[in-house]
Amino acid sequence: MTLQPGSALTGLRGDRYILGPEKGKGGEGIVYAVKNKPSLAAKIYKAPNGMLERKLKCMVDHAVSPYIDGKLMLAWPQDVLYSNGRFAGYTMPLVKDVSPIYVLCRNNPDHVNDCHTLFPTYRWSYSVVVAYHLAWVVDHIHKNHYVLGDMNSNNIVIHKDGSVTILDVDSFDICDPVTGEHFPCTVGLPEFLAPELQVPDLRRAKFSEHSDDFALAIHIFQLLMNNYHPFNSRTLSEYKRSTPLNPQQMNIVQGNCPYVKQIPNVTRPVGAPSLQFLPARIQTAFRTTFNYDEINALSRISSRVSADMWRQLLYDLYERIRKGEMKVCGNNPEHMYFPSHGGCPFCLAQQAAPASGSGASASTAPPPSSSVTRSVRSGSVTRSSPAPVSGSGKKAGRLSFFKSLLS
Amino acid sequence: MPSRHEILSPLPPVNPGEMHVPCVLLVDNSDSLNCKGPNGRVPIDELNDGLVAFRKALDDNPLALGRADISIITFNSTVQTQLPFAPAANYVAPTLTASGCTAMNQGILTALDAIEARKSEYKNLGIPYYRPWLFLLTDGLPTDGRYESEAKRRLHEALQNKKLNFFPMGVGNADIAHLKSYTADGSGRVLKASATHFKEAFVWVSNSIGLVVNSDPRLGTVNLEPTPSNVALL
Repeated sequence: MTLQPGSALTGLRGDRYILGPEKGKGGEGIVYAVKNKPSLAAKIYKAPNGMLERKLKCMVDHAVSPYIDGKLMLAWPQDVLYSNGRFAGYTMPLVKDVSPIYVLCRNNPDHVNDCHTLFPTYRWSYSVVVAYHLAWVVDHIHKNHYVLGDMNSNNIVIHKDGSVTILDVDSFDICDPVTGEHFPCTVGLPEFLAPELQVPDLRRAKFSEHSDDFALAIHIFQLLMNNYHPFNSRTLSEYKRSTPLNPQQMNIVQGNCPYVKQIPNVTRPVGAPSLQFLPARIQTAFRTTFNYDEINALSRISSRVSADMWRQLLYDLYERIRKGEMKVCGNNPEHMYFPSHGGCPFCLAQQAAPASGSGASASTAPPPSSSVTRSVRSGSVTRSSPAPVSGSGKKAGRLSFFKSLLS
Repeated sequence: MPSRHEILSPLPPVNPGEMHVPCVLLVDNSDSLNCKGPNGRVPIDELNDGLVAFRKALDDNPLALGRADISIITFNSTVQTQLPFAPAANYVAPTLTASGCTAMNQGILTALDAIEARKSEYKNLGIPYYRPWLFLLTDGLPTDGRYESEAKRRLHEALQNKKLNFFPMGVGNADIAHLKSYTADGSGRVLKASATHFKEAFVWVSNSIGLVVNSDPRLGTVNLEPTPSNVALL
């Protein structure tokens, strides 16, 4: 019998769950609301199997609290679901009113599904707060001796208060502390996979806290660096593609991060800011994690910056912002920078964009006047956000925003 | 003659920090699309509905919406770029009218040129990209035979070098065997739909692009969405 809204399921201790409306669909199954327990959601698998059942039982028996400081941070399995005695899925806390992390990383001139969807008054500092919360939840999971595994950007969602929830917890890489059975993570999106996981078959790969730390560093990088991926680059010489890996994956395998080392004929993408505007310790943390080569990549795995360390580094940055040490950009109040840096790194990067692409064909530059349906932003200064207001008022607003996030 | 030349300027990619997927919808708007189908509907109307449904399907996948760049090129007696490459979020369904012959081969050449231009833009900006998509929809035989060998040569070259995902779809009375000869070594897949099920086909394309951005490009071939029941894979 197919399960559908209205179907009744039973939990491990005999609790009854009635499926409500469908909430979402994935490759592995469908997520429903739970009609008689509104704080829960139920995931029903397309192909339930014995190993999944044992894994979920283990996760329920050795549960990590989904809440940290009162915030829902983990959609941790709450009960295992059976339909007429047959394993069917599991329940988890219902996560509402969130956006995937990639939406927060996006900042488009026409505001389609970007950071303004979540934060109409978006500021760079908001990304710092989200990065901090992400490091916090990853650290929490590691302190409980679990590995996230598939840290792709669909599995990390952001609330309007800047807190973070991890979804698809059933894909975690875990070991049953009693039986010792290993339930490996076998899925991942290549753009977040560490070099040791860039292999043809993820079932043979070894996910670890350190591969989580690598993915965490990529997410933090994208949050702080205007959505640029640390391993995207621009090749100045003729572009060759001789492997099945795309250039981004090749760069991860070879450690070609143009932000942390000099690579012949390779530069940062057009429009990407330099790492130099970040506090020295955060720059060092990115270097420690991303500066390796194909030969030493494996020996450097355990030296990656941990989630705990990221949490501290980002908290320090947040404290410096709170104390008013960073300046709001006069051209675009969403940007912030340390006065010692001279100018706004985001504006500088965007102003440099057309010039550094000068060898390109005419089509590279935005058209002078668009013949299609919207105007094109030629630089950050023209965005239609409110003009910068005087310092004191803005600072107060930002402070209260932070306070509400971290109280 | 505007054939094989873009009239409007493309829009630059958004979200330059993310991997992109360029996708051309190359569609037939020759006179035969005015012939009423068995359900009393006119295929060109179905096609226009399909282009609107494509927009809605794109909206259902926000990750893909921010990474796909879409261009619409039509062919009848001439080839026209109805929508030059633009971010999927900027896609507005054009309203097409049908008339004239079937310059499909020139359409293919224009589409391949447009994809090459978009790719060089990505390279200049430092944007990595997934294998480009070319979705071709036709209901007849091409009438520009003198471009056929060039169109096939360039298609086959791109397919052999794994530089293109090519999905030809024949509708109504299309010559499926002839369409097949455009695929890799003439034995690749061709989709076939009745002239009244365009909408499902476009939704399938959109969903498949959604799967591409959520998949592992190392595998080369993506496990695409199963084709809708009224679109057969031949």
